[in-house]
Amino acid sequence: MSDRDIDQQLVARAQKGEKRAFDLLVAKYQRRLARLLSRFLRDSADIEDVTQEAFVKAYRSLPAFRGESAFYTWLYRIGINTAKNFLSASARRPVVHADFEDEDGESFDLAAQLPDLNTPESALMNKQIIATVNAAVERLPEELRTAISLREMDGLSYDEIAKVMDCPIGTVRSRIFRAREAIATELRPLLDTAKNKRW
Amino acid sequence: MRQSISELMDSELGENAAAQVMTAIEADASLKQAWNDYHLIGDAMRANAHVSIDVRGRVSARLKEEPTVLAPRRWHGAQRVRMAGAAALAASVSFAAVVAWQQLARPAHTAVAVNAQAQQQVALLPVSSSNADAYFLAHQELTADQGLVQVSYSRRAAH
Repeated sequence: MSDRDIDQQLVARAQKGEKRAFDLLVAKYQRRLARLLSRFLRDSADIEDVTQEAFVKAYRSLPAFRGESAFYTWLYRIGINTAKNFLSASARRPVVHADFEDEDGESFDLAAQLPDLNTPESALMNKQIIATVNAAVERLPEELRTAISLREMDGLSYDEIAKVMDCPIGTVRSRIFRAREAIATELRPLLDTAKNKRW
Repeated sequence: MRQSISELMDSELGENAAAQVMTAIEADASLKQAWNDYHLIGDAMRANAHVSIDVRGRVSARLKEEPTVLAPRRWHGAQRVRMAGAAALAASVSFAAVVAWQQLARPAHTAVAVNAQAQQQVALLPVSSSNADAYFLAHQELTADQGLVQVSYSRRAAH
């Protein structure tokens, strides 16, 4: 089942009234949507507000979503319109970066090179999360590190990873899962701390 | 189940298995947390600069205030044909009823009045081209029974 099919299934569930299915789409896409919106908005609080608003608008528009485009393309369009409306309402000029044309936001990799316009708290948190994940990846046993890197960084399928690593596909499934669990275990205290600070 | 979540987000599950895992995640807060954490790890490994954002709680609170969305059902196959047939029949009956009502409701003299009005409008059409005027003057005896030429010529003559 492809990534697009999974999204479509979750959308179909939300369209039948399962709000919790929409929660899963929020969890999946909130960071990618925020990254897209950072091309228009400078302030991290604005990015967070517009991200939230875009998801609410997307939820309200779900009855009109027919699946002709991928969910994330549709969501990103809503996000861009929400950002533009936000800027018009607050009479602020958008921050538009050179590769704005790429609507799906997947090729945008300049974020790390941009001037840091986040609030000190969110900038620090971003750095801490990335540092914690990178450190956890470095500490993984070599076979787990290779498997998770081939999956997350290179986008290889399990079948392709099995061929690269010369092991059964079941082993790949297990290695990637164990890698994620190990990283999540190291990340959890940081996220819990952030949650307590936030709320 | 957590391994199944890992496989789901990597598009490695079949449709039925995926549906079961989705149902399980929706029903269990710890599985939902795993779903979020695994996606967060991927975004962090790809150096997304906005990994600290978390609007799940705020969006969820807003959605609780929203009415539940229910998309209209899609019609398939024979159901769609039946519905289309019924709609076409209903449209035909409605159209026939409207036409019949208009015919019955219209006063008898209306058609005559409309016809006269149309003729008058045609007669008052301005003809400004000098070529046309020359043509009409040359052939006016042939077209004397047509109001268009007579009116045009008389107007021009009055100036």
